[in-house]
Amino acid sequence: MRELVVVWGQLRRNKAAAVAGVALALLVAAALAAPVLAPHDPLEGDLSVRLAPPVWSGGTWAHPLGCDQHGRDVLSRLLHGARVSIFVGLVVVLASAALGTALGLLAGYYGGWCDRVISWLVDTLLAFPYLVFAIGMMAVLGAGLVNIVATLTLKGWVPFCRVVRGDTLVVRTREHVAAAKALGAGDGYILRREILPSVLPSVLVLATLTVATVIIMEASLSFLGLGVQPPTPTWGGMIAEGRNYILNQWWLSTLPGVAIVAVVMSTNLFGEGLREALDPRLHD
Amino acid sequence: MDALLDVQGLKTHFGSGEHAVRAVDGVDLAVQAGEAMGLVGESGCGKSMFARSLMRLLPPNGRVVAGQARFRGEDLLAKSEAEMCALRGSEIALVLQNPLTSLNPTLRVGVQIGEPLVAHGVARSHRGARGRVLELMRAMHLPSPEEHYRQYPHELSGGMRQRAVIAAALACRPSLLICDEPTTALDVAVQAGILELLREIKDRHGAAILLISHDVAVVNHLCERLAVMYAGRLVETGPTRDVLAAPKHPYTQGLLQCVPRLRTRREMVPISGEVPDPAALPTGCKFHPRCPLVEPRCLDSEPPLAPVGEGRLARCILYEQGRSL
Repeated sequence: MRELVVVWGQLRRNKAAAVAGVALALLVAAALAAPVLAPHDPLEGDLSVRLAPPVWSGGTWAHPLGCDQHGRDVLSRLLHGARVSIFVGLVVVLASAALGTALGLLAGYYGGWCDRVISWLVDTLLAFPYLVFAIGMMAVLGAGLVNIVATLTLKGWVPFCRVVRGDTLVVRTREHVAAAKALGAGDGYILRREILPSVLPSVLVLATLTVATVIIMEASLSFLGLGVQPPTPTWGGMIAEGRNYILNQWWLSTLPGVAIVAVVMSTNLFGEGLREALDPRLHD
Repeated sequence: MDALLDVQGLKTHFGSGEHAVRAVDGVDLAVQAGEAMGLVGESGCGKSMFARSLMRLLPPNGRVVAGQARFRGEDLLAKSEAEMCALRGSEIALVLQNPLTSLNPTLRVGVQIGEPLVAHGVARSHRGARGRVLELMRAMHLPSPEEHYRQYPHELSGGMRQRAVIAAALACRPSLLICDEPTTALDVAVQAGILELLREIKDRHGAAILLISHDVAVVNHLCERLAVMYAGRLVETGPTRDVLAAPKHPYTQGLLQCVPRLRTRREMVPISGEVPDPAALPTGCKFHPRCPLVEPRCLDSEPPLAPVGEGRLARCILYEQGRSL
């Protein structure tokens, strides 16, 4: 518990990270409470308010952020869209971190053929650009939430594996590992208790930063029509649908874009702050 | 009586072929149950690799190429990794040089001391081991066990950390404790405390101690017998008091002249030259390039360990000659 207090204290001193953290917390809360918060049904259109402008350019408070071409409330759709983005972001990052950490520990600790096989896989996957890989996989698997998570995880574990493998190579030569062995610790114990805790801070920071990438990837896939299918609202899908109206009803594409930028910036700032807070060399 | 640990002709090499580094090159050493044995030598003479060979914890490129190490009559070098794992920490424990790095910075001190108890099945869980751990911490004279139990290593001083490390090593009451430079990283006052503790362990718990040190004074404080190692082999062994009073091998003599003395204000005389590169050892006696008494014959062949008194052996041409006369 004391460690958390120290990290939190460090984090709070970094203004940008603290603001970003609060913003993220609010966003997650808003996404969770979307069914309660949203003023309208995100799927139900009312053609009488079709393409209604947001409140600051002549709209009404009934639809604060305006309506899309089917008369659906943009604010409600943004809130519900956040659920998809955040769900995919969290699940993919958790799965990637777990898989990447496990494989990275094995590769770094055992070395030999185990390291060769895993590193070969990592190098192969790294050779594909993320989006090209995701498009290919989605084309094969078909669109859908589960397939998005599977595809993004399949590529997402790679950076975790590399980072953990590198850290493990360093940590396993530390004297406390030799000392544990000298007192009869087996491989399993050493991996779990001696090495894993030392690599966790890197994993945690990488995980925060990866959330942003995954959210962008999910939005990109939805934009391309390979992601979560309409009518389920997603930020990427909203940008795609709004782009035909970009000249006159700019808010349809711009607002979900702003939402994506805000989330990605917040997670990056928060991740950066977390990295600094967890790095004892940067403490004074 | 059979020795607790009986090492015969142990050779540990790094790499292979002509360029092999001969870190340990034919060491015979016996440790009796309950005895403290000192192993002295300069840095790089193979002391640590000797200990690691016994524990079968050599770096990946090192291997034992010859010899046996009988512990309670069973050869450690012939055991499987699983058998060694069961033995480490329960029957033989190794304390490493630097207490500042040999504790895991991410685990509470109490948990780490209790770890061997859990690993070797003495206690089922850390909760179950807690009482025994606190008892151990008290035996190690850690000032406030309850508090230290919950602390992390960085919250303890160097001396306290070394006490914690020794507590973990003793958790399962091993019959042999190998200490590799246990006091080198500590300041002198703390060093004395740790040596006092080791003496207590020997007297009260009856554990045999193999103390590895470059410091003759440290060994003198604790050990009944000592062995002097040079370039991977023993050059002199015998009862500590006798060896220190009248060292036979020129290297031992040189080592003792390097020890500062307050009372006599004798000049310290360093041994000239450096420890030879273990990949390119000199011919004949390995010490001849640095020996003040070197003769042409020293370059030809290496003398065997020859008896030089009551329970004493030395590897020098001076005594080989004496024996043949």
